[in-house]
Amino acid sequence: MRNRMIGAAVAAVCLVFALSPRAIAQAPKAATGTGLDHDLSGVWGEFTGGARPPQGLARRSQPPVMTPEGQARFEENASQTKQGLPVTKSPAFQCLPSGPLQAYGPGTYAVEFIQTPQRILMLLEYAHQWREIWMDGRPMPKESDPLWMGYAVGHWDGNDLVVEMGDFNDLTWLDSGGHGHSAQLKLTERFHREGNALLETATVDDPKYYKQPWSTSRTLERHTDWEVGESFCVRDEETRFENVVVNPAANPPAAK
Amino acid sequence: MVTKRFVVFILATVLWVSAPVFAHHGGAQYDLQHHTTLTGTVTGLLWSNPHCVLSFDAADDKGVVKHWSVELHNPLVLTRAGWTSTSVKPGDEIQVTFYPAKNGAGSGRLYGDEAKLSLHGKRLPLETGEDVGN
Repeated sequence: MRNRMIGAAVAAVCLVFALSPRAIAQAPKAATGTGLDHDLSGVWGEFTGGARPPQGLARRSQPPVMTPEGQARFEENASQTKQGLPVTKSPAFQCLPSGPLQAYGPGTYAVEFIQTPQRILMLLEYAHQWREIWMDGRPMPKESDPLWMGYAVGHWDGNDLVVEMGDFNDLTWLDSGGHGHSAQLKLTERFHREGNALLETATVDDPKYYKQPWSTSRTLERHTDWEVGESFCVRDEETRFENVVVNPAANPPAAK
Repeated sequence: MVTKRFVVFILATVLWVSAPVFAHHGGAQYDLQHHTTLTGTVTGLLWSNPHCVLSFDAADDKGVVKHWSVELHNPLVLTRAGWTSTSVKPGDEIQVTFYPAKNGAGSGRLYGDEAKLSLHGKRLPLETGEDVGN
């Protein structure tokens, strides 16, 4: 009887330890033999020094087909580019939160993935922003205030991370060209890693602005010698840059 | 007949395809098809977001001196390329190839395929990881 009680107590202690977050974090991952399973950790950025992504990870994108409302919004956003003017209408120029796609920045900025058992954090160097992806199986919230970065839940599809996002406001751009979105936006992002290359593909589903889903993508390289630096968007610094470089070039072209 | 819808579609496609090239202020105000090479004297380096700015005085081919302020990448990119805030100082003699503003203003962009910067005959990288062959 005594031995049975001791055995039960030992089993209970083992069970508590096995279910602790620390143990879960150390649990073996699905094995593929590469050592990179479910692992996006590290700092990622543009390919540098002439390096190119593997051929199989070339960007694959589909162009957007806009509804009349989406077209009107795009024309408004892109009007300065069409006139050869600096794009001061962009949320980035105004130091507003970027939304999840513009948060990668103009391409030269870094992003770091930090993985915990319940969520993945993306530290986005551009404008010092972060994204939070819940990995604990929770559903999207039934009700939410409109968010700049949206609400994100993720899961692993094989070795790909798939992120579903919603609950957006309509104040950000999907790209630097000026494609906007409504608050109906549903965004799905797939991260596919091969070695030190990462293909990110974002699918935009917004029936109010786009007649059908479309996608945009980027490829990133893992940089073991990079750290995410501090890079805030400061309105005074933007203003100074405008005054010194942007505004002098914003006049109509000089007649020849 | 070229309809407004057709024009918008073409504009949308062109901008969508070329969007990754744009800095967050855009680049439509620069002549990205024709670069300019000048020899001049540095008057300052603004080491700040959103873009570092190199200012210099340079004479054109008629000997007329003009003041230029051209945008570089941001401090983090340049730091990863080996720069510090004092890599270029007032008084330094430079040779610079850049994309000038279309309107003739003394603005321009000092990054891109043809952009180059040499200090005392030695190339400085303008992109992280750029091989300048020194």
